[in-house]
Amino acid sequence: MMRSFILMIGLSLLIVGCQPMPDVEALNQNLIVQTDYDASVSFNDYTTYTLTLDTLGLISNNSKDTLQLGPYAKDITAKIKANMDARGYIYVDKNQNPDLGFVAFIVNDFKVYQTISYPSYGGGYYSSYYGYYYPRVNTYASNSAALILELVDLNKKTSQNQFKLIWTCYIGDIVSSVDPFQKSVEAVDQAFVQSSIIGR
Amino acid sequence: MKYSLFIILFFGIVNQMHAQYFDKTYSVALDINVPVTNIDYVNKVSARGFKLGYREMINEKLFGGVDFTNSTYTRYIPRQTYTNSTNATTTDLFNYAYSYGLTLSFDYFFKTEQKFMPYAGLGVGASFMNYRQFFNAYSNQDENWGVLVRPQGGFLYKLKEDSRWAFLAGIHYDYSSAKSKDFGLDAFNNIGVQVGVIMLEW
Repeated sequence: MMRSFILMIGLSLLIVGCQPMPDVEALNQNLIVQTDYDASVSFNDYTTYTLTLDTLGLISNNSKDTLQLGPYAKDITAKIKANMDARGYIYVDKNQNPDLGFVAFIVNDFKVYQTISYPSYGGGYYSSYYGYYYPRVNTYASNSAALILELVDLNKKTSQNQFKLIWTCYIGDIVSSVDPFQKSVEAVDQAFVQSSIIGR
Repeated sequence: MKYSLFIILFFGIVNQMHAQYFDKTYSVALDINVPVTNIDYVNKVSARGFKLGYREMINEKLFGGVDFTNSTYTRYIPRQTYTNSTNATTTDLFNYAYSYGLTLSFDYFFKTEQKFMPYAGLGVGASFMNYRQFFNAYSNQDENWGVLVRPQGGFLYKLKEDSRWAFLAGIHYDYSSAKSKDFGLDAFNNIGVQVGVIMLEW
């Protein structure tokens, strides 16, 4: 009898060991889009911006490449440009003294701290990422990748001699997404939808 | 003479059976629970929980022992945008609460050594709550210990009076003080129904 009971305990512990988790496909159905901006900046004051079209930056532990080219980069940058144009900013070339620089890059297999914050459930901020001081979502997961979008004020520099970051966006995880291409493009739109502050 | 011998033997056996008074029980049960607090965080019925129980007789009607319970509560929050000052986040959320309880429990049996044995009891012990929130490839979690208080009642039903097995059915109310500051959650309370089997040992 005791043997049967021990067997039951063993089976139960096995169940405990396998804590039910959400379905992976359901989890990866949508990308997270997190944005933040500098409240001290008036986005109306900017007129022109520049953006490297058809190219994304790449930061990866798996690759020595620093650029991501191809259809993904082309569609993402096109979507960024469409949104910036729709918000009233004028696209100019880098040598035409633009007010804003739009930076888009992929961070792949790059271990950084991750958190999310929203009302009701608490949470917190953490960032020591690239010297910027804005809260954002990051991750420890080594097999993940994020698309990072940033707007910098090209007329102002920080005390570390970096252009001042005025808006940032984190989109992830583009590796585990069920449709990373289309979902990333949609996520760029969402980044602007939830950033009504951007516009003239 | 033969008839008298048969009667003596028969009653001797019957008396021996009545003398087989169970003094230990082992139980395993499916534990179905519904959260009654923190339903903004988790609101679905937990259908995959279980309870393991052990009791020893203190006196004819009172048994004491331990219960180990486990259940998982969930809630899916569709994709929406959460705004906090300058920060905005759009995601869907899969909220999970993994609950584990270990209690010192006492059951009072209103009837024993019968096919139908109703009981009422109380368990007091430790609760461990693992609150975990999944979103895309990421998750947040907060683990907390607390006090668990569980009033419970139910019955055992034996198909045969001399059976070493019985069916177990019961209801219980759990109060766990394991709050989550990170998720802004209060004490976790739930109502549960248990259905299982119990082994009687004597």
